[in-house]
Amino acid sequence: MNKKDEISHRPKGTFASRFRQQASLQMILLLGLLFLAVFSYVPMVGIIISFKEYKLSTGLMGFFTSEWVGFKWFIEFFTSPMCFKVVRNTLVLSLLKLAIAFPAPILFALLLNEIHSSKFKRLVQTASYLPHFISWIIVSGLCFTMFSSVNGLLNELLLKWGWIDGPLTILTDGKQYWGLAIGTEVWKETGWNAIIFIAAIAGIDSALYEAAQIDGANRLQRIIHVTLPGIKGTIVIMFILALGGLVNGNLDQAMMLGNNLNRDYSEIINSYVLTIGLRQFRFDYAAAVGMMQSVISVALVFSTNALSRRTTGAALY
Amino acid sequence: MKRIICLLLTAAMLLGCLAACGGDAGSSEPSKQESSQQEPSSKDEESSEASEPEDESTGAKDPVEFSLFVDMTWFWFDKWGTEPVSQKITETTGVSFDVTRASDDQQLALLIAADDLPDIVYTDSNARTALLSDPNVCWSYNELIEETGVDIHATESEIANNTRPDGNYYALLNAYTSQEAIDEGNTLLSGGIPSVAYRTDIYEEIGSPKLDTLEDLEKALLAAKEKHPGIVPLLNGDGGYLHYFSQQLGLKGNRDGVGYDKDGSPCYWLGMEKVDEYYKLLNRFAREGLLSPEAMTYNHDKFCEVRNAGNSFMQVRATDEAQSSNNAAIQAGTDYRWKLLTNELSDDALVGVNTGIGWAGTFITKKNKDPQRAIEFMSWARSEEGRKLCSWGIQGEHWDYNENGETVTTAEYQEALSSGKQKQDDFGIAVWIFGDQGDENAFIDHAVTDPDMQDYYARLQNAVKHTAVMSELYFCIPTEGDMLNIYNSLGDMVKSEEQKVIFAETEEEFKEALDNLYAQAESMGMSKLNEWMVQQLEARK
Repeated sequence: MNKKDEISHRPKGTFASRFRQQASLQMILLLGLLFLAVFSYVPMVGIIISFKEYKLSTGLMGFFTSEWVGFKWFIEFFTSPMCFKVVRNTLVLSLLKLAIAFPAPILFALLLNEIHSSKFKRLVQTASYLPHFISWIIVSGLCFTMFSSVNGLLNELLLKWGWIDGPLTILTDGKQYWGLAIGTEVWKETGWNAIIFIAAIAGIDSALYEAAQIDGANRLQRIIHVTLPGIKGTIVIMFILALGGLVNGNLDQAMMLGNNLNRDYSEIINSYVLTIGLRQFRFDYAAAVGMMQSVISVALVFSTNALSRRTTGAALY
Repeated sequence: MKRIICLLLTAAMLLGCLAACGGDAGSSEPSKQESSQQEPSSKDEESSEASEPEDESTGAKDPVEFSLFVDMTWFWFDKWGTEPVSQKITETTGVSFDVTRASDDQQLALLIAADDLPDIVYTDSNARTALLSDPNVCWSYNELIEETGVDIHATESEIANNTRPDGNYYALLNAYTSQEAIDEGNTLLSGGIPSVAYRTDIYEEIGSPKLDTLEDLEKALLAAKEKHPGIVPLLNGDGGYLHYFSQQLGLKGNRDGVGYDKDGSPCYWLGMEKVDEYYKLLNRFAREGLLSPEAMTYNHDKFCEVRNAGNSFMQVRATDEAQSSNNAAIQAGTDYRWKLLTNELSDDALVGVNTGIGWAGTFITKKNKDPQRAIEFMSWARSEEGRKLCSWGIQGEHWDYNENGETVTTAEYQEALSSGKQKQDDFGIAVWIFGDQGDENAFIDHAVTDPDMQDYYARLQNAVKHTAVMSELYFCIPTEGDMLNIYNSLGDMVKSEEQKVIFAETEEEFKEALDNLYAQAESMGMSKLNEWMVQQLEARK
C-alpha cells in the first residue's frame, strides 16, 4: 500500500465526528483501556515507595508523605547475600525452562500430529491437559507423596529393590531443586502449552504435505521442512512472550516446593519480594526489588523483539 | 437500535466497574455518626452511665457485638458462642464477638494497609504489635482510661513494660509472669513450651532406659533407630521446636531473638553463649540419622500425619501436643500411647527463658464502634472474675473451691478430660484469655487424675523451676527503622543457613557452615544491632 492509498483510506471528517461514527466500538475499546488503566497503570504509582521510607500504618497517603531515601533499598538489595542467589535462581530456572519446558510442548504437538488414530489422539491430548488444572498446592502434595524421604513412594520402591542405600532427599536437597522444578513444570504445563502449536499445525495447508510426500520426503523430513516452518511465526511469538517472563519465575512453584533447606536454589525474585514485603512488612524494599525485576523484563522483551525482527522478520510490534 | 443497546451495555459495564473499584466508601471513611461513636467523650460516658442497667460487679450491659480479628492461624475457634466459656462471657458482660481467624501471617498487615481493621485485634506477634501501636491505627489504653475512668487492673511494671516510645500503651500483653510469681511457685509455664514425648511401645522395646540427661536421650534414640531403621527417631516440625535443646543446654535467651552473651551484654541469638554447642549437638544428631531434614519443612498438619502414621519414636513439639498425639493414637486404635518427658535433661536447663513482657495483646482499633465498651470489657477481662472465667472455666461447673479454700477442678470436668475431651476445643477454657496473667495458672488443675494430664502439669511445673524472667530484653527487640530491618533479615537468613550447619555431613563442613553463618550475620549488621541493643538496655535503666 503506497502513501496515496493510505491517505485515501483514512476516514474522513474531524476526530469528533469520526468518534461519533464509531461510538459503539470506541466505547468497548474505552472499557478495555479503563480496565488497563485501573488495574495496571494506577497501581504503578506504588513504585514511588521504592525510593521512600514507607510505613505501613500511613496507608495510601504514606506513598506521598513518606521520606525520600533515594536508592537506599536498591543498594541494600545489591549488597545483600541473597541478591546473587535470587537473581541466579530466577535466571537459571527461567533459562532451563526456556531450554526444556519451552520446546517440550512443540515436540509434544509434533508427536501428537503424527498420530493417526483420532480417538487415541484425543485421549492423549485430554490427559495431557489435566495437570494444568491442578494447583501447585496439590502438585506439592503429590510430590511429597512421591518423593518424600519418609515413606515416599519412590524411595520405598527404590529401597525395596535395593537400588539405593538411603532415601533420596529430592525435596530438601537444594542441588536437586532445579531438576524438580523443571520436571514438575514440564509435567504440568506441556499438554496445555501444546494447544497453540497444535492449532498452528492444523492451519498448515495439507497440500504442502502431499507435495512433500510426492517429492519423497519421509515423516521426519516433512516435520522439518513443512510443519516447523509452518508454525515458525507462532514459535517466535511464544518465544518473545516467554522471554518477557524470563525474570518472573514461577511464584506458586517456588512457594510450594521451596523450603528452608533448598532455599539457596529455590528462592526467586518473586518469592523474595513476597517474603520481604509481606512477612517483614518492608514494602518499600520489596517495591524496589520488584521494580528492578520489571525493568529487566521490559528490557528483555524490547531487545528480543528487535532481535527477532532483524533475524526472522517476525516480531510482536 | 443495535447501537443503543451496545451503548447501554457499555455504560452498565462501566458503572459496574467503577462501583467495584469504589469499594465501601462508608467503611474506610468513618461517617460523622461513627466519629461521634468513636469519641469516648464524657457525654457518652454520662449517657451510658445513665441508661445502662449494668451490674457493677459483673459489668453486664446491653448486648454489643465487636468484630474481632485473631491474628493466630492456629487459634482454636473462628466462632464465638459455641462453647460454655464464651457463652458465659456474653451472659456476664453483654459482649460477643464476630471472630475472624487469620488465614496467614500477612493478613493483619494488609488489613492495616487497607485501613480495613475490625473493632478489636488480638495478636501475639511482636512485629504486628509494633504496627498496631500507632495512634492512627489503635486507641491507646491510657487515653481511653483517661476518658472513661475504668480500672484496667494493671500494675505499674505492666504499664511500664507495655509503654511504647511515644509514651502510650496500646495493649497490655496477657500471660505476663513475674519473677516473684515464679519464685513463689504460683505459676505454670505455658503449654506451648517445647517438650519431648515418646512412644511407649518402642520405649519398652528398647528396655525402658532412663532419660535423665541429653546423653540418655541420644542413646535411646540410637537404640530406637537400630530397632526401627525406617522411622524418624526424633520428629520435629517447623516452628523452631528444636529450641528445646538450646533450652536444655541453658542458653540465656530465645531462639531467633535476643539473649545474653558470655559477657552479660544483650545480643542477637547468634551471639549467645553456647550457640556453637547447640548446633554441634544437633549436627551430631543429624549425622547419626536421628533427625530428618525433610521434617524441618513439615507444617503442623504434615507433622501430625507422619507422627500419627507411626513413623517416629520421639517428637519434639509443644507440651500440649502430647495430649493430641494420644487422642490420635486412641482414635487410630494403636496399642501405644505418647508419654511426655516431664523432667529436664540437665541442671543448667533454662526452659522458661522469658524475654517477653507477656504473650498476646488485645488492641482496640480506631475503627471500633464503641471504644468505651471495649475498654470496659478489657477491664472486666483483666479483673479477677474475668481472668478466672476465661482461664479456668465456669465456677461450679469446671472448677470450685474445696473445704480448704483451694481451687480444684470438678469431678465432672476431670471425667470429661479423661474421656478425651479437650480443655480448649470442647470447653473454651483458656482460649479467650484477653486479660489472663501468668500468675494464676498454677492454682487450678492440680487435682487431675488422668495420668496424661498429670504428666502435662508436672512438665509445666518442672519447667518453672528452670525459668528466668528477662523482660528487660523485650526492649532490645527493635520495632522500626534500620535495626528492625537488620533484625528481620538476620532471622530470615538464619532460618535457611542454620539448616546447612545442622545437616553438614562432616566435621569440616559443619565448621565451614557455622563460620559462614556468623560471617553472613556480620555482613548483615549483627554487631551494629548488638551495639544498639546494649544502648537500649542502658537507656531503659
